[in-house]
Amino acid sequence: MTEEHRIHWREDFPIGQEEDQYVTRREFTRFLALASGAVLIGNGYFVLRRKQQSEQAAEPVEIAGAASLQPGRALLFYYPTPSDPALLIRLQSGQYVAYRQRCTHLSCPVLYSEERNRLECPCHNGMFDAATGQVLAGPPPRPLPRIALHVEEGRVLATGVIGS
Amino acid sequence: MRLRSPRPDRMQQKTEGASAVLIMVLILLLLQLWLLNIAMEAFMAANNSLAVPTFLASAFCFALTLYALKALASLDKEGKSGR
Repeated sequence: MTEEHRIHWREDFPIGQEEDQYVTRREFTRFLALASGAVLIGNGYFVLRRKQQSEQAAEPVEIAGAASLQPGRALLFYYPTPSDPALLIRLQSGQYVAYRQRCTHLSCPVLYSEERNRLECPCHNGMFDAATGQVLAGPPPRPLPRIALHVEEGRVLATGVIGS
Repeated sequence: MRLRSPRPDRMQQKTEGASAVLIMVLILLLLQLWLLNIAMEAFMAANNSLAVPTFLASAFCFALTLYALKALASLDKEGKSGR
């Protein structure tokens, strides 16, 4: 094989392996930077939701039907937005307590058990104390977020969400 | 006919530089994903106090990523002017 034949393949493949690696890494780094921006936008979403929630929670909302709630019974209501279900419970002592209905494990709706006086998550058997919202058993990592209540003249008002 | 030498040493340096930037950006992205996870967990628990700090930390990581991209661009320019 002559010298001229030997160098023909170089003309067909003019990009060296090193250069190819460099370009691939550079492009991948650019893609990662794009992903970084997307993650930042994701974090920004939680900041916006926080702002929205603080604006909505500023106004107390009356819970309809709370006055006629018997001790040992629970009532479903929505607070602070119409897409946030919550449970108002009247304890045997007559005191009112309210929690968000989402389990702190995987957000399944929790249900009030009158017999056991506790909130139970049917998905993974998480259990919460009805009086305090503390975890009694199961996989939930945190207590249920509590809803601050204000009782005046027989009316029950939800005034804010207390984080766990 | 004689082809120009591709100067493998210079190219290797550039590739190593790009690899270093890539690793740095990758670590920053993992850190950002961890921060996003924290923010999401806190949000699910109705604890909004972590939303702003995690956002600021994530923004700092993003700024560092952009700086790394700038370094990569200067590496590119260097390579072109060196030809």
